[in-house]
Amino acid sequence: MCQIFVSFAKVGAVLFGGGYAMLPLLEREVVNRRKWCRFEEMADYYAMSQLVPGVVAVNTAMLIGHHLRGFWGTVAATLGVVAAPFFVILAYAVAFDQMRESSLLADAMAGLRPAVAGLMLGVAYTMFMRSRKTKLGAGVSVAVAVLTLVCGVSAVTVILFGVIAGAGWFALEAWRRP
Amino acid sequence: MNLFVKLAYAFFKIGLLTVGGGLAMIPIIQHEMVRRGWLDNQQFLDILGIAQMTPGPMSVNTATFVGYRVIADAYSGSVALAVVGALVGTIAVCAPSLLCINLFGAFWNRNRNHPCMMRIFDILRPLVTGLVITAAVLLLLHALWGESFRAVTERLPDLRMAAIAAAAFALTAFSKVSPVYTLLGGACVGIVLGWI
Repeated sequence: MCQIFVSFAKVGAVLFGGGYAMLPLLEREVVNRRKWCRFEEMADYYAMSQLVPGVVAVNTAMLIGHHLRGFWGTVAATLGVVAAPFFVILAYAVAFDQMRESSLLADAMAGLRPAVAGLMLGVAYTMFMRSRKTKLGAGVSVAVAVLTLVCGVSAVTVILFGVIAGAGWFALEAWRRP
Repeated sequence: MNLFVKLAYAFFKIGLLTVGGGLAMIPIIQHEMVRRGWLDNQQFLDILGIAQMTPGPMSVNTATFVGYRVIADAYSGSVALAVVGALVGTIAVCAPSLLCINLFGAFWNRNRNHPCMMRIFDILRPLVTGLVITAAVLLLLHALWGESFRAVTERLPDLRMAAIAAAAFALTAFSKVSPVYTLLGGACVGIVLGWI
């Protein structure tokens, strides 16, 4: 149990950017060092964690923890992966309050804001290029962007409708091909 | 309702409704925070930048930071209570997955390749892309025009800020530079511009 916590704490402490960045780190720690599972299994957990609600990195850790020790494995893995970031963020938050008046921080933030926005736009571009590969994908992406941006529909509503639409699509296919 | 309960409820909901991880979570967190008046879009951008430059899953970092911020603002800067707020946000955002994986772990494992699941994800993947586009556009408008972004057609943005955004976009879309360096770069340029 302690090992699970320590291993995931290590991964969490050096995990920048989340998502795909986690795979090489997990490979080094979980596959090569601890030999808890094979690389293919780990990739499966990663894929699966995208289907479970919540944060992908945390889900992946939980699934590996679940595979190793059941419930307490998931708890140890979760605590591990969020431990280091929690304290770093806390330190930031406290420092942020103290330095609110500082002009250096204000300048840094002024540069950071457009950088974050540009970064997000880059991610959106990359994602759109991927979903553009199918007509349906491009259509859904554009429709959702218009609905949420122009019509102000909430993201939660859109996701719920997406799940219903997917299930409906499956039902239609099953009905057509008895 | 008590603010801590509200915080826990909000992040529990966020954790429950985000499928596909961090980026999909951003528009939802943004919507929830702004709707509740806990953060404005400017503050949200700041938090996002900090969460991205810190190790750890970005959405959990955001939950930690927002938990701290909201409670600190509500209780006149009490650090002890704010730390509890950070804990509440962090735990709440992880709780739905903890429940799901322990309740349905075996089920997910068996039905991962079920055609119904695959169809749902065929829809959800491009759908999330649409959500990310919206989030990116909103963030860009706020970064370049500030809160009065409805004046988009009336005046040009600060060109230096627009240049930073364009550079960050190009670095992300067309190269494999780590987001950490992109953001650190943005912060450094901001400091240099302020100093000149």
